[in-house]
Amino acid sequence: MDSTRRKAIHDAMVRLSDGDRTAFPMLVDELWPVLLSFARRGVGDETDAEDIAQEVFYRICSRIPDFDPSRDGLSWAFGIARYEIMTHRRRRQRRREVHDETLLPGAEHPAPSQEELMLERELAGMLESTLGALTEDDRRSLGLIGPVVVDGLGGATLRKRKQRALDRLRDLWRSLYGEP
Amino acid sequence: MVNREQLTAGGLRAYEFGRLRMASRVALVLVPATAVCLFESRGRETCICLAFVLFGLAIWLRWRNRRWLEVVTTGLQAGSLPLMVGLVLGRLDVQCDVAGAASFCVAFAVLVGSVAGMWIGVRERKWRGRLSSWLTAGAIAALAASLGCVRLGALGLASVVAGIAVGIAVMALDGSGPSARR
Repeated sequence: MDSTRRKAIHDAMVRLSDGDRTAFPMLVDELWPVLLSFARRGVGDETDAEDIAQEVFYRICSRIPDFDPSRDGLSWAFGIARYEIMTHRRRRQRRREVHDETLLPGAEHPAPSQEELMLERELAGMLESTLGALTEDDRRSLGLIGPVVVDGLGGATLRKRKQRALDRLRDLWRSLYGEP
Repeated sequence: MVNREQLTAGGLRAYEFGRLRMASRVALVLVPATAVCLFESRGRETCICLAFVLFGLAIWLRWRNRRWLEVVTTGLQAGSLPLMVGLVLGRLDVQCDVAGAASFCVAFAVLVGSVAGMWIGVRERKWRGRLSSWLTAGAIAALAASLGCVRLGALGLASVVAGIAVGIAVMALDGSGPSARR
């Protein structure tokens, strides 16, 4: 990405956030190819990439009036694009899970694709960072560190603690990554 | 393959919708002010009419561009003082049309309006506003002030508006007034 294009995108966004509609063709010319190639890298499939890039472009356009000119326009746009691509992947993953459940028992499962492996790694990273944000007591209650059993505490108390730790984990996940 | 014209049209539509959404956020300020005005027993119909005009004007100006957005902000800030004062005086049952209280009420309304007008001058000077910006901010301030001053009677309302005009004129004539560009 050359700095001239980056600056042109930023300038167009600043002008549009100020209400200067004449900057719109410039935004289309400069931003669209960048978004398309970003979506291609993120999704892989050409048709899906175009759809997502278009969706992201419209989303960016609708949010430009709130754009803060002190931020870098392209990084801001990539933030929106990244979120959309993640949402698309999650949606696809969910569809795949539903499809897998409907498969006949004994059907052969193909080896995971490169993209699936990448998604798995990403999810594992997200889970790790969420678990890292939990308190030590919560992690212990979930059996992630040390012994779960604590002397003098009954089974009901431990179950309650585990439930609370799970609730906190869910809340954290929601606050970091949105609804699962 | 995405059609470039279709993309531009869709993007522009989304952009305009976004601007409208951003412009409509002025409702967060105007709706409570209008609600307070509507709780008063007198002048409800006038209040609704004024609120509609103010709401429409504010949204349209904020939708246009950032300069007009700032003008609306200035006008609403300036108009908030007479609005509050009008509501308080209305609570105390002060009316400018009633003999006895008229001179005090008119003088007070002109004074409060002048402060609002001078505030417009201060803000617009900072933004190097044009004459049209000063006048539009004055109109917004007058409309906002009317929401509170409608119970003071026609004379009270006219006094506040006159005060705003005087305040703007004082600031405009005092040195660096509005830019000559239109």
